[in-house]
Amino acid sequence: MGSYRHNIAFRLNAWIIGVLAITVFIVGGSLVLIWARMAQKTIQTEGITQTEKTARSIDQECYFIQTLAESIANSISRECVGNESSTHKLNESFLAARTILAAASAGMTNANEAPIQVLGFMMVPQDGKYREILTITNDKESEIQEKRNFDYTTLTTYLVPLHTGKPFWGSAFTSQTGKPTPSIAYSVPVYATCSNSKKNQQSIVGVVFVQISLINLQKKLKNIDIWGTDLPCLMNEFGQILLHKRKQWMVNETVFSLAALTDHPNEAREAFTTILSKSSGHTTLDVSPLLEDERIVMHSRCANGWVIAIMHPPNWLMEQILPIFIVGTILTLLIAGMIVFIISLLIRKMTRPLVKLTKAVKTLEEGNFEIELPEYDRDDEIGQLTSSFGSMRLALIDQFENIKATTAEQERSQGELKAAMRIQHDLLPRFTPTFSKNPLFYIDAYLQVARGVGGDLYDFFMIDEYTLVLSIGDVAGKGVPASIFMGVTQTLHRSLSRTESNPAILVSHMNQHLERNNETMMFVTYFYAVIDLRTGLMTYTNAGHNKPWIRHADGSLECLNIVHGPPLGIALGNYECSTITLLPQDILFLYTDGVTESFNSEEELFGDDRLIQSLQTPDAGKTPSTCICSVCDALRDFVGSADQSDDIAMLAFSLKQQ
Amino acid sequence: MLPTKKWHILSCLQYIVFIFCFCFSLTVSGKEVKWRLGLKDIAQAENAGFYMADATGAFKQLGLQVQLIHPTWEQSSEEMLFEGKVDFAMTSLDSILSRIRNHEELVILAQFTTKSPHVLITSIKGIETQIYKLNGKKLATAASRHRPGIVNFLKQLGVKAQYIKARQGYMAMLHGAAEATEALSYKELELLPFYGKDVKDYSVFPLHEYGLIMPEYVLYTKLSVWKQYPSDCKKLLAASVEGWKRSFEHPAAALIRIQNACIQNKIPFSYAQQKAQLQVLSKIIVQSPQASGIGLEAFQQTARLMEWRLMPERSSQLYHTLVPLGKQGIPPYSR
Repeated sequence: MGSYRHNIAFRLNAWIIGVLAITVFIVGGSLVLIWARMAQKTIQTEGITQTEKTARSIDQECYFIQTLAESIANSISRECVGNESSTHKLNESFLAARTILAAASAGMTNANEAPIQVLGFMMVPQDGKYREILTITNDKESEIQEKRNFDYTTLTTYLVPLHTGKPFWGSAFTSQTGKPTPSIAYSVPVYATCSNSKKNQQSIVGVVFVQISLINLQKKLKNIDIWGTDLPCLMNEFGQILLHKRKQWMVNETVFSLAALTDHPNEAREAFTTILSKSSGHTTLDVSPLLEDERIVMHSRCANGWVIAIMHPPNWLMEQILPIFIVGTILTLLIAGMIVFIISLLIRKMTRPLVKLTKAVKTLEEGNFEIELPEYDRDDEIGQLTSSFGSMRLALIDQFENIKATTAEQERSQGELKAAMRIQHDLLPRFTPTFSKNPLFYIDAYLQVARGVGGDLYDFFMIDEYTLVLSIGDVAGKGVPASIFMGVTQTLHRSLSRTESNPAILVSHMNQHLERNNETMMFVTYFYAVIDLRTGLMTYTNAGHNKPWIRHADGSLECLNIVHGPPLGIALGNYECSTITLLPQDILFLYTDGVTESFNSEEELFGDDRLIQSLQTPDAGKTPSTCICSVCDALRDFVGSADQSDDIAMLAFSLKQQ
Repeated sequence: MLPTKKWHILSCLQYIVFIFCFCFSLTVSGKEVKWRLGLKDIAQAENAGFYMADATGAFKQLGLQVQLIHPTWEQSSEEMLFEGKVDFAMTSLDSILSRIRNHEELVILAQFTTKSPHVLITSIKGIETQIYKLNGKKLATAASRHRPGIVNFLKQLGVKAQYIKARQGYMAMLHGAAEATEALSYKELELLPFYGKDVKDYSVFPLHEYGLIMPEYVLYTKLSVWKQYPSDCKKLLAASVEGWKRSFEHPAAALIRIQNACIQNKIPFSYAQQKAQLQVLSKIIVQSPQASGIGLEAFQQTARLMEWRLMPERSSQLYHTLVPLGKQGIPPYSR
């Protein structure tokens, strides 16, 4: 997994998928919300429009019924005009009703989908006798019946027009005439007018009623269709459910009785009271009044006070949207997946040269230059990178070849340097028993070159049995040139020492030799001394070299300050010499400037003072070896981890006590 | 071969024996009396106790075979009792007194309600307790119950209204045909909210507060039945009370019985309305087998309200004739 995270293609894909997902989520979510809001608004508007349209349609139907009933009532009424007795008028009205109803119902059958079930006339009882005439319409024909034994005077259909004097739509009921059907009746009072009296002296002689089937109205409600899942309900002004998809509620229940069954009956009652009082509109209910979660109501009122309501559960819209949303989401995901797939392919195609290039770099990293670079023809960044990498590879190959040649050359030079070191080392005097176990003196020396070979030199040898020659020098510069110059100097010194014992003459001769053909302008500081081991007399010449020190037996130090001339090889000239007698236990200490000019890590010089201190230590006075060791220890402590900057050479001598 | 005369005689004898055995078996099987109980009104919660007693086998548990019969708009329970169409009848005292004929001897087995549930409801505002303000107003009375007693009681109270007989008095009032209606507290009064009306918007007069003590929910039988089958009468009463108990303990089951009865009798069934009615009935129905009889005072008052010709002496005499159990009522039945 970790390796994937370092993969550009993987990261690019992850970023693209992430950005795409967030975009889809935000944009898609916003679109769904906006769409849902718009759909809700549209549904509400459409619902109100459709309920109003249906209400008008029902109004037309009711208007037809009302007109029919009122026409019949008026027709009967016209037959009862005059000054006859009320009994006579009642009989007249009944006879007229029979004729008019028979005429009205002629040809009226339910087969023609006419909503009328019964046309009737209920006469005001005469001497406690009931008389009514009914025109019952069934599927095939109309039948006229006259009844005399049924007390209709207690029926609301009769009572209300009689006592209010107004037409009236009654409550719905289940008609038992023929097949039980939900029905409703419209009844109109029939007046008998006295021709000589005023209009307000009219008397009611009976009630005409028209009973219709509500099933016909249900067809109108079925026309309401908003996205196919509507729950239209028709109720009268008292909330009695006239039509609803639940047949057990029709006629039997009112919305208020159903409200009583809910958990919040008062709220449900208030909601329906509001709905019944409004002409039309949209109401969102806080509670579910019809036992289902129907809380969004679009409603309109008919002219006779009935109300058509479409009810939706609040989650209905979401239920409608959900399948579309799911399909949309799946399609979006598919498209997004395809986009991601295509982008992945593109990314892969684009990064493939990079991957190959990376592999090539890894191979190159392992030292294999024989690699095949990816073929990339385009002149874009990857093309330029591939091209540059190709050039870099060629340059690296050249460089590598150069390095190999250089390394070989270096190895060869190193070998030569080692040989030079050996030669230089061989030039130094050896501590043969003549020197190490000589009964007359002690002698010790130390040489540490800074780079393989150095320019410092020291030498000592016996001219005869009692004469010792000491020399120390420091060629300007370091390395091979200095070492060669040192070798030349030492060779001169040795060859001349065999023929010349005077240090001044010898040094002068050496200077002459070294100065000759010295085009490189190299030079060497040089100290040359000849010591008579019997007397301790030391004759010496100092050609620009560091001043030697003598540590006496009492620990005091004496500096041989005399410098007899410049370093050798610079200019022609004669040198002189000086003498000093060394006592037994006096230690002569010779050194090169590598001692006093050593630097520590803080760029401080060792200097003459520290040299003097190291020479004054008790150990320094014991033997030449301890003297050199004392200076070496002080020098090592001082330099620490700093690099050695110059060659260091030290030579110490003392006469033994006889 | 033609049968001989002897064979003819034997065949006839065999046939006679067969007929005799058949008749005997019918007589023996007919010993178990099948009782017919005329219910209070059309199918509704008012009869729930009897539906449950029948459906849950309370009658059968006591060895009774009971057939429940609903009254119709044309014939009430008390009329069916007088005509011998039922053996027991649930009805009100004024209803039965209005239909009683000479020398009819009845027994009141028990009344189930604690007090008179009659009320007057009026849509006229601002009259609250001033019942006399109904003078001259249109007042609907229940046509099915033939309540001259109520009308006379109101007359005694000084209410001279214009009385209208209506099957649904409250509907007549809601549609404006009447300004007030007579009603039962557990029935019509409870229906008002189901038509979007608030009872608080109406003035309600509980008539028992005005001195009406007319029993409404009473079980009657003929004196001859009581004398011949006293045990069955007690069992019928006990099973009925048990039925009411079960109705109130299991209202959902009782509502199903009510619904079934409504469907069988083609009566509109409103679950919510019947549930509400049953709930109110649970507060006023006496749920003890010791259902009390009717006191002399109630009988005399009702008789007076019925404008009984020989009252009050005659009504007292009738009281003792009609209610042999007196104040003791039905002794408790122990199963």
